Amino acid sequence: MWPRTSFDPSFRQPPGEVMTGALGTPSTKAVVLIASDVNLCGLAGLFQLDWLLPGYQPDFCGPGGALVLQLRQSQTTGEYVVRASYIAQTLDQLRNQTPLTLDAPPASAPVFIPGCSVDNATFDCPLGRLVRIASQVIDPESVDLVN
Amino acid sequence: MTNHFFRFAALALACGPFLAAQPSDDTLLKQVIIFGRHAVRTPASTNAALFNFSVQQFPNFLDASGVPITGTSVITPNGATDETLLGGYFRLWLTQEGILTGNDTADANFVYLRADDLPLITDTAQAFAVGLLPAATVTLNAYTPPANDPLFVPVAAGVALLDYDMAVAAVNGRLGGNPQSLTSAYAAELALTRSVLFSYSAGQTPPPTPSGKVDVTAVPITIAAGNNTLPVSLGGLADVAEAIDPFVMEYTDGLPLAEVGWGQLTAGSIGQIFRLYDLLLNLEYRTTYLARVQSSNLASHIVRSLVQGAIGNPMPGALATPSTKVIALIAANTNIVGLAGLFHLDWLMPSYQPDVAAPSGALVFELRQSQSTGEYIVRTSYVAQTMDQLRNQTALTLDQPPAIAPVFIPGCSGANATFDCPLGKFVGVASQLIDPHSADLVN
Repeated sequence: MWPRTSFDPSFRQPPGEVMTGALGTPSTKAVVLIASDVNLCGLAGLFQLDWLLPGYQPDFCGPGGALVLQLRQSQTTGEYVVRASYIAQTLDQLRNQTPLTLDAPPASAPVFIPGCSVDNATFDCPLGRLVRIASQVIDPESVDLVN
Repeated sequence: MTNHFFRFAALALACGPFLAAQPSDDTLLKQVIIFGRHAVRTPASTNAALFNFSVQQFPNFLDASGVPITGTSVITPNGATDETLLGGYFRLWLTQEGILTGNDTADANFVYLRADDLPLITDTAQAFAVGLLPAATVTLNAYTPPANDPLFVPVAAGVALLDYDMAVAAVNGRLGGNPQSLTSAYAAELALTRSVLFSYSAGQTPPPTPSGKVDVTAVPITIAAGNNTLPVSLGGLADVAEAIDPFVMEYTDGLPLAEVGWGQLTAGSIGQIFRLYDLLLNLEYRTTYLARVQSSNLASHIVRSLVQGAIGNPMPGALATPSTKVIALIAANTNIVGLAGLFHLDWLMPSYQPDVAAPSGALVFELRQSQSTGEYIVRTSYVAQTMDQLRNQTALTLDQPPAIAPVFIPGCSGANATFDCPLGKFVGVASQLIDPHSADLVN
């Protein structure tokens, strides 16, 4: 039924070809996925991610809250890093429908990715290392390569 | 509703044949590793130091003659009795399993006892041995201070290298870089702690901090580099842990209830307060980076000892010898929490919070062999006396055992009732989790 090929734990992409099992296109700048807290808890559990936001219990997925993965490129070395954070309005921001701006933002927690993050303030994780971690924790039997 | 009922009924019918088809246990116990925490002890701080945090004097723990024990972190007579009771339970179980024979002197040759080198812990190991093999003298393997045992304090022993900046980042990155947010997440536990220490009803408006006292619940929770036994300094959270540390010991040692949290605490509310202490241990020892650095050497020795027991030949980095049947390792809750963190093990026991390493309690790894296929499996459980069994020094038998939780090993355990984990698969999981730079091959 699905054009299913075997999971490649190296996540290699042949030159000039679209990455199998990826979302969007190579020129997509924002991939927005909306689901439920069960999905967020599950993904965080797979990568052993923890967070804590003011007013919430640890690892809580507030309504509207999001796990954010930024792909960033160093302008000096060209290296790609992944910067993870968890962002959610506080309970009172939700209750009061508080306008959000860069100066009055929602609560935000930088997230350390075990086995990958470095010890800077944003816990940046080199992309190559994240791929290695991912290939260890992802079960190839539970994954397809549909785009 | 009806639809759900039929779904449930269909599920039950589908499971019926499966449950009936579960094979009976044809495995034989070949070797057991009992990795336990020290027994009930006196508080880690002096009563004089603790009195800075409370309006009432902390109670005394008594020696066998009824005289107050002045030493900190020393085993109490009741703690030693509890430990011997637990050793006695393992004697009964291992005799039933055919590992012990009743000839203690002969059996002692197949028992390896290793303890971290603090007097509390070596005394615990000796009390355990008295229960396990009462008619024999079991050799105790322990380093002599100031040498550090690389199994239990690998960083101080120089076997594992701890990057303190990475330790701070790994903990900070679990807390959104804002550890002070823990005070709202744990507001109820902190409020209860304050009410006990300052002797007021938990329901009333909190009074101001009494003059001359430190309110540990108001000390900011911060994160900074720690030292080679407490890798991250957590500010107020460490102060809270120091102040509440005596409560579980007061209860389990059997002090009069009027002296347990000055009459304000029960087993249940001690558990609630101890969520703060458990949090400290979780951050210091279960954080992935810290578990890898601090527990890899112990994990490596445990796995290698199990392999040695299965192949029957000496193995580098294993403990004891291939013919050893019982390996008893005694250390601290920090070690048990760390090892559990490395392997992502969880358990839940009556009267305790999740994943608590109780006084005397032990993580137990059984090396078993199938009598039909020859396959070796590892069966893991967590065994500990309940808080009331400790408090009442309850005699333990096979019919009246301590609390026992079978433990699932992620990535390895099968779906049977005891979560058996094939030895080869366990080695595979361990080799992914253990940091080779934090382990040695010393036997």
